[in-house]
Amino acid sequence: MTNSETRLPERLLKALANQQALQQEQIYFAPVRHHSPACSYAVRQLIKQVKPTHVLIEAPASFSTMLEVLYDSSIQPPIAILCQTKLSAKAGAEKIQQNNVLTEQRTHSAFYPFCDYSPEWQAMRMAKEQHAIVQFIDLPWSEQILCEKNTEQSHSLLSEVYLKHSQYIKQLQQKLHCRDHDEVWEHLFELRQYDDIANWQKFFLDTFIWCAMARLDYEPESLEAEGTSQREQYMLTAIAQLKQAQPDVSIVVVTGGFHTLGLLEGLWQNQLVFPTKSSITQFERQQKSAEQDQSWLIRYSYDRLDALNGYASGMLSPAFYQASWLSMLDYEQNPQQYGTSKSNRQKHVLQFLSIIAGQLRKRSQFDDVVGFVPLRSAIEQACLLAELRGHDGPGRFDLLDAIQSAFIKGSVHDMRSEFWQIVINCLSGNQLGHIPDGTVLPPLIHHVYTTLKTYRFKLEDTQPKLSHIDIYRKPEHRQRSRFLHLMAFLEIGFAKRLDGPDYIHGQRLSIMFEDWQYAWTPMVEANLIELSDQGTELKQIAIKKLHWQTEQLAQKGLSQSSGHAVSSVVQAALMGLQSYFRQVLNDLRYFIESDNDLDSLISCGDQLLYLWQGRTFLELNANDTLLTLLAKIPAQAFFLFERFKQSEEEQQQQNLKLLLSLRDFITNLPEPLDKKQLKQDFYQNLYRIRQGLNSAPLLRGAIDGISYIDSYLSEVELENAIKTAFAIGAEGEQATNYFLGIMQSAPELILYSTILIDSLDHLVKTWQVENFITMLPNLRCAFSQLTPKQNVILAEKIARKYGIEHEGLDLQPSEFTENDLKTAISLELLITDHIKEQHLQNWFKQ
Amino acid sequence: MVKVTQAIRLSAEERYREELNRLTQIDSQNNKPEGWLLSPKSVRQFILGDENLAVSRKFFGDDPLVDRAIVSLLGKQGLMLVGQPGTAKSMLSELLAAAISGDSNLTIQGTAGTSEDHIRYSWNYALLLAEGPTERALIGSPIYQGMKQGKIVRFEEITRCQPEVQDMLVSLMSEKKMMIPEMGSNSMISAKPGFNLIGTANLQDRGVHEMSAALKRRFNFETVNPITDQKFEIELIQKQLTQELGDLITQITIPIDVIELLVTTFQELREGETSQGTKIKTPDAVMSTAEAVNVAYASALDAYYLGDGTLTGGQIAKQLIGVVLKDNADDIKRIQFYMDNVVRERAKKSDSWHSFYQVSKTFWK
Repeated sequence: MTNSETRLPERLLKALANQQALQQEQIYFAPVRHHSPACSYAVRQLIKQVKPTHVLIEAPASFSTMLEVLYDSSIQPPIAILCQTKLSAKAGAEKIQQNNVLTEQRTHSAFYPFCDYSPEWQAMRMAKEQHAIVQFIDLPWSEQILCEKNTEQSHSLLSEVYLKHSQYIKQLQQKLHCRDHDEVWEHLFELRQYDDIANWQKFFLDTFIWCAMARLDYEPESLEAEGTSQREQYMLTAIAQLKQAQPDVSIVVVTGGFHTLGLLEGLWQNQLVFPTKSSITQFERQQKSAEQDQSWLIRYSYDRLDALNGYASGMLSPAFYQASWLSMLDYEQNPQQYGTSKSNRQKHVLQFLSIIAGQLRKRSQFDDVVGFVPLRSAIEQACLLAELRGHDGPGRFDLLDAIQSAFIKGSVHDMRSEFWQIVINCLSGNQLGHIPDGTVLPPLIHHVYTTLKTYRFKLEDTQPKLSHIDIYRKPEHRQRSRFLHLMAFLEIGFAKRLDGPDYIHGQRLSIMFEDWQYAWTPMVEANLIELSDQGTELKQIAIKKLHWQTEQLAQKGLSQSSGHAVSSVVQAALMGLQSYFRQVLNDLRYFIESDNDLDSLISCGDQLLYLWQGRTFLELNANDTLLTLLAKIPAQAFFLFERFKQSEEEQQQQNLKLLLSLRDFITNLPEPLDKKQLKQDFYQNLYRIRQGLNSAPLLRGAIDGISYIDSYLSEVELENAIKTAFAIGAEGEQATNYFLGIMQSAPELILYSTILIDSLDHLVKTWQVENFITMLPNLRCAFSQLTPKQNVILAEKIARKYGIEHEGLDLQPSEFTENDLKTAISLELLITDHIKEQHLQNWFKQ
Repeated sequence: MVKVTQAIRLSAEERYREELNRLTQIDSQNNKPEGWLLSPKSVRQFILGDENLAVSRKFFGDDPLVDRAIVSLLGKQGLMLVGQPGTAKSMLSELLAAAISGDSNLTIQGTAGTSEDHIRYSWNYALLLAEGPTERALIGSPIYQGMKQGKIVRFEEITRCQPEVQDMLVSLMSEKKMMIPEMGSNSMISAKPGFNLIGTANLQDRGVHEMSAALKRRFNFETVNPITDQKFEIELIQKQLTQELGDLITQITIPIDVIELLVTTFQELREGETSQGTKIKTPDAVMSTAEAVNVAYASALDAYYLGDGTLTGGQIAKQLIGVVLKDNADDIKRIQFYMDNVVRERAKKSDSWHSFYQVSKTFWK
C-alpha cells in the first residue's frame, strides 16, 4: 500500500506520523478486527518482537475481576464473558415507562465471546507467556449503557456495525467485485501469505488504513451519540495515565481498528498528551462504577459465534477459520517443514469439501449431487477462483462459489435451503467450549437451579425423570406446575408435560394430576445463558416474550384476532403471572369487540370457558372480568352471522361447525349469566338471516334442526319447514343438503319424528335413477351421523312401513364374545411371529 | 449481406473493439490459458469494467457470478447460464465468447426444429455428389468450427431443442471429439484447446424440454438473477432509456418518480411482496429489467408523439398491460389484486401513482 499511501487524506497521514512518534515512545498499536485469524497471527508476532511490559485490551474494565479466571489453562475456547448490570429506570429513558410491565430496575446484559483465534485472546495468552501485565481499558459496561442511545439490543460487545455502513468499504467492495464487506476483508487481509501477515508493521498499517477510512464516514456527532467518543476518552486516559506513572513501560494496545484513529489523534499532539485533572477525576469515577457490574465466564459454542446465525459478533464460519488458524500456528512453529500458505489453504478447502460432501451424501435427496466428478471439479474451481481473484490459496468465499458451481445442476433457486444449511453448518461447526470446573454461574441459571431445588426436583444427573404433581390439593405442587409451565413456555428444554388438564385446548380438564418428565442437561444451561441477556428472572422474560408474540401477530395482520390474543391470557394464567394476567385479560375486551372473524371469536370464547372452569385452581381472582368477557362473545358473534349466507360447499360445512360450536358455547356458559336470554337472542338472530339462506341449504337444515331440539320451533313449524324443503319440484341437491344439515345438527330427530323420513321418502320417489345415484353419496353421508344402533331402529321403522320381513334386515352388527377376541389376538400374534421367522417384515411395511 | 455499419446490432467484439485492443495490449505479458486471447483477469476486467483502463462495465448485479463463469470455462466442464428471461444471460455469453475467443458468432440458436445437422455438420450436396464426402463438401456446424479453431461456442436456448438433439452434446462434451464416419472409419476432428461451450437455458418457461442428468453433469450451472436493488435498477433503466431514445431524450421530460413507480411495480410483482412487506400475488408473466426498459421506452414515445412530452404514470399503466397479459388469464386477477390493495392506497398520496391508478382502472376492471 505504499503506493497508495501518498494518496491518503491529510488526516490519515498525520495520524500515521503520530503512530511513528508513539512507537518511539514504546506505545504500539494493533488495530484488529475481532475474531480474525490473520490479526491474531500478527498480534502474536508483534508481542513476540516488542516484548511489552503491558498489554492493554479493548474490553470493559468491569472484566478486571475475571483476569485470574481467564488465565486458567484448562479453559478451552469458545468461551464468553457475560456481563450484567442493573440500572434504574431513570437512566434508561422513557421507553421503559411505556412498557409499564417492567419494574423500575432493568438488567442490561452483554456477551464478550472469545475463540482461539480472537486477537484479544491471543494477546492475553502471549502476555501471560511473557509475564506482561494485562489491562482492560474500555469503559465499564454500566457506563457504556449510559452513553448509548439505543440500549434495547445490546448483545455483543464485539459487533462491528461500522463495517456494514461505511461508504468507503461499499465503494471498495464494488471496485474489488466482492459481494459484501466480509468478502472484502477476506480478500484483502485473511488470504495473504503467512509471512506477509507476520510482517506486523505492514499488516497493521493496512488494517489501520482500512478501518480509518471507514471511520472518516462518521461525523463526530454520531460518534458521540454511539458512545464511541466517551469510550475512547476512557481508553486514552488509561493509556496516558499508565505512561505518565511509569515512563519506561512498553505498551501494546489491542483494540478494534475503528478506534485506532481516535486514539492516535488523542494521544499525540507534537508530544505525548497527558490527561487533564478533570479527565482523571472522570476516569476514576467511571472506573469505580465498574464495581456494580457483574461478570461470569460461560461456555460458548461455534454455532452461536457464527454471525450468520444472527449473533452480531465478528466473523462467519468459525470452524473454517479455526482450521486455518491452526495451520498458521503450525507454520509459526516450524516454517520450513510446514507447507506454504497456499498449499495449506488448498488442503483446508479439500478437507472441508469432503466433509460437506460426506454430510450431503448422508441425505438421500442430495445423494446424486456430489459424485466424485463434481467434488473434483469443485476443488479445481476453488483453486482457480482463488488464482483469478489474486488470493494466496482459496478462502471461504472461493469455497462457497466452487460449491455453487460444481454441485448445483440447475437453478440455484430450486436447490432446497437444506442444502445450504448443511454447507453452512459444516463451515460453522458446533464445538463447545470448556470452562474450569466450579466456575460461578450467571444469576439466571442460579435462580432457576435453586428454585428447582426448593421444589425438590432431582438435578444431579442428566437422566430423564418423572414428576407426578397433585395440582388441586397441594398449593406447593401448584407452584411447581406454574414454574414448569413457565420453563416450557420459554422453551428451555427442561421439562415436558406428559399428562394433565390442558387449558389451551380444553382437554382432560377434570384430571387432578399433572405428569411431567424432566432432566437438567447442558442444553438447559445453554438456553438459560441465552436468555440471560433479557433479564435475571424467568417471569420477567416470559412477559417480554408474550409481548413480542403480540407484536408478531400485529405484524402478520392478526392484531384483531381475539382467538390469538386469548392464548397469551391463558399462558399467563398457567404460568402464574398474576398481575400481567389481569392486565391482558382486561385488554382482551378490545380484541373481542373488534374481531370480525367468527372462528377466532368462538375459539376465544371456548378458551375463556376453560379458564372459568379452572378459575379456582389457577387462582385467577377475576370472576367479574371473565363473566363480562364471556357475555361479550355472543353479542359480537351475532353481529357476524352474515357469513352464514356463503354458498360454497366447503364454507357451508365450516359455517355449520361454527354454528354448532357457538350453540355449545352458549349452552356451556356459567350460571351467573342469563343463558336463557342469550339463547333466545341466538335464535332470534338466526331467524333474522334465515330468509337469506336460500343458497346455503346445509345451514338452513341445521338451524331448523337445533331450534326444534331447543324448542324454539314447534313440531308443526318444523313439519312445514321440512315439507317446503322437500316439496315436489325441490332441487335434489338443495333438499339433500338440507337433510344433511338436520342430520348433522340433530341426528336424533329422524328417529322420533316420522315427518322427516316420510318427506324424504316422497321426494326420493320422484327422482330418476341417475338422479338418485348422484344424490346417493350425500344421503350416505347424512345417515352416517347415526350410531349403528340408531340405524337398526331406523331400518326397522322403514321396513315396517313397507312391510318387509325382519329377516330381510341382516345388517345388524355381528356381536362377538371375549373368547372370540382372544382367539383373534393370539392368531394375529402367531402370524406376526411367522412373518418374522421368514424375515418378511419389510413386505408388510408401508 | 448487410454492411457492418448498417447493422441494427453489432456483435460484441465489434462494438467493444477498442476496449478489447487496449486490454490485449496490456495483457501481453500475462499468462494465458491455451487458446485464450486474454488472461482470465482481463476477461473479468472486460465484463465488469475498469475505470483506470476506460473499460466500461457491461454486466451488472452479480460480480462473483462472472468469476465463477470464467473459471468454469477454464476447466473441462461447459458453462450453462440459466435464469428467467430478460436477465442478460445471452449478453453475458456473448461477452465471454468475445473476450476469450475474440469471436461471439459461433452460435447455435436452439429451437424446437434444431436437428443433428445444426450440431454436427451437413453437406453441400452438389459437391457431395461430384466429389464424394470430402472436406470441401462438408459444412461444419458452429461446434465443428469451434472445435477446429479452439474457440468458445454458444448454444442459445438449449432447452428449446428436442431431448434427443440435446443429448448429442453429451459425448461431444466429454470426448471433445467429433467423428465423421462418412469420410472413413478413422476420420474425426479433435477439439483444439480453447474450445468450450456456453449454453443458455430457460428452466421454467412453457415449451421447454428438461435436460437429461447426463447432460447436466457436463456443465457447471450459473443462475443469472433479476436485479433486486431498486436504486440500481432505476439507474440502469434511465441509462438504457437514454441510449434507446437517442436525440429524443432532450425533448421528453422523464420525471424520476415515474421511473421509480415503474421499477417498484416490477420489483413488487416479481417478488410477490410490497416494499412494506405485505404479500401480494405474483403474475406468471416475466417481469424482467429488460421488459421494464421496453415499457419505459414505449411510454416515452407515447408521451412524445401522443402526449404533451412528459412521461406520466398513466402512460406506464397503458404499456404494462402488454407485458403482463401474455398467456395466463389468472394474471388479470393477480394484477387486479395489486391495483385494489396496493396501488389504490398509494394513489392517495402521490400524483404519479394517482395517474397510474386512474388509467389502470379502465383496463383492469
